[in-house]
Amino acid sequence: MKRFSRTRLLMVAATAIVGVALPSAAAAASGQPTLPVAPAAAAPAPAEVDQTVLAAPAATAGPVVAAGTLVDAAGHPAAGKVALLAWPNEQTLLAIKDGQHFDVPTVGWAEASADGRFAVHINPSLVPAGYVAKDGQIDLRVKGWTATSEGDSMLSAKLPPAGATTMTTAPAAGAGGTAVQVAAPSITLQLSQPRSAQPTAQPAALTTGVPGWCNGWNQIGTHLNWTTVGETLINNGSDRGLFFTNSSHSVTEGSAISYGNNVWGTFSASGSISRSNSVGGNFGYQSIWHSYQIQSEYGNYKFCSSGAVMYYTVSLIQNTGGFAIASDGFFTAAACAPTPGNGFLWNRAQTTGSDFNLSGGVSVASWIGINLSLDSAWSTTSNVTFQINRPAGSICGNNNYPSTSQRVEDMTT
Amino acid sequence: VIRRRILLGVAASAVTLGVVFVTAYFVTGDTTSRHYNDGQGPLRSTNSPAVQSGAFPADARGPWTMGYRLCVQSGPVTVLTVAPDKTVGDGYRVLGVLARHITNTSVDTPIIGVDGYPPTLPNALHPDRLVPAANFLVTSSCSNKTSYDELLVGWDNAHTSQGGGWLGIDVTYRAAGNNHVVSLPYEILICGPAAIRADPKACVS
Repeated sequence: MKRFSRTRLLMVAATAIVGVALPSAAAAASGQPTLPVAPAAAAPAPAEVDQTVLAAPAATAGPVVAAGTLVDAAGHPAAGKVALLAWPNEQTLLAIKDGQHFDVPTVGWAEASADGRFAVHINPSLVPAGYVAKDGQIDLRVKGWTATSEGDSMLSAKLPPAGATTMTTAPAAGAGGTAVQVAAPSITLQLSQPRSAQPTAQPAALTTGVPGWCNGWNQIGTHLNWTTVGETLINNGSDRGLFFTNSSHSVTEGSAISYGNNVWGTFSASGSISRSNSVGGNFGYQSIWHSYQIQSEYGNYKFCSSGAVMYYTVSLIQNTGGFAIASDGFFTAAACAPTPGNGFLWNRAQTTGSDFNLSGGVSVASWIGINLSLDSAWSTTSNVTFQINRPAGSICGNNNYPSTSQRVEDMTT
Repeated sequence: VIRRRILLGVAASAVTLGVVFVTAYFVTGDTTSRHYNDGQGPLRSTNSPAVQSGAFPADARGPWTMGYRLCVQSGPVTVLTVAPDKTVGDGYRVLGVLARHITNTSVDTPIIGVDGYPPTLPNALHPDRLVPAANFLVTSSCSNKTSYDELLVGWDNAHTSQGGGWLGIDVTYRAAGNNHVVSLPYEILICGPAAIRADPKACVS
């Protein structure tokens, strides 16, 4: 009996050692977060957030659509609160006129624990008609705050079929996070702005053409913007260049937040919204320098409380389907490589969801008066083809060999 | 006493095995052979997800030599074999695979492709030393734009009705005592129905 007990003790000890090591290691390997339970700091909600929704317990029945870490301006985890605010869908945004108010309802909230971790369930019963696209996609502002600071991001999620409790957020770029399976960290929401020093009056320059008192979210204008998505630089008239692209569009959205200075601020927060319509085109063979552009419509919006402008946001409304060919100029070649000729076709095709760097983003400074660049995150197939019709040719890159260069051009000799 | 010692030994072994298992899994890396895509592993080319194709018209007359960069993220590595990742059609002939190392200058440049095989390379005054690709030592770092290693594939038109070619180039290599394969996103095609079916964009005219 004594020997049996000692043996059992030894086996239990061995099992305990191995048993302790494996689960913790397995947890580390799986990447699953451990969400400690800690009380968040009490803080008044920003005016943008519906206090009546916050007064109710945080929803746990609906699917989790945003998860991640709340961090302060220095990047340290912060305890606080995170709310989801539903952004109108494409059809609703198209119907909004300049100066018109629209709702951005609070559709869920959660505490961020002491290590900043949060997971927010959406309450489908709080989402009005006109906010979910036909395919179930919904754009959401993610608002985080503490007593002293706040931060914003945007993300797109696709609502799951009824009864599902988890889902996958749409691919996104920038601070808005990346495609993830929820229940694992997906976004880092930075509290980049202080919550003090509210403005006291509307900036006159921005109220032109906007009648009425500003309270809540208002559209203050729209703009058609051309984004350069490719180019073919042909320097020898015998040769030809072809570009075509096919894209589903997801645009990183800048969010301007102005506190107390009554001017457009820098876009200190960003995220992404998604549009399901595809854009692109085959621009046909060209024999001179050309760049290729497609058209998108953006809206600029402001949020006011008691007449004071608190936030400005610029975001995609729709891809119009327009495309155009513009003139372009060649560059000083950094590295060239010979090619065969007599009809030889050299093609470089890129199929990624990464940013299309050639355009340098969407320049909107000319129409909103601030230095904002929206990175256009194209889920794109882009094709550049050079047809070398001479007996032999040469292709050059602007910053590297043609095979790896950011830009390429067909050379005269 | 003997039974107790046996049980003690079994228990100790279980603990040791558990610790060794956990340590081996989380501390040491997997050192077996791997199949990489470009941009992964010790041997690379463009470090880009872009697919590049060189396509010749159905009636074009070869031969030609097509050039592809090889570089090391960590190395050096030794090339063992070069083969297509996938083939389509029958309208092509592979004449051989060579390699060369150059110091890139304005007169001694990499090639996308040139006429002839073996090639008449850009620098006629100082022809590069061409060697078989098998056992070629790749030393050029992927971050170095001057030192350049290049794979040279000899190619010709077999003039069949279908065309065809290679979809991807698999390079088997040896690095740090292990054999690996990297699939490079390059296509070499003779235009024709088989090539167009495989990659419609490559033969758009």
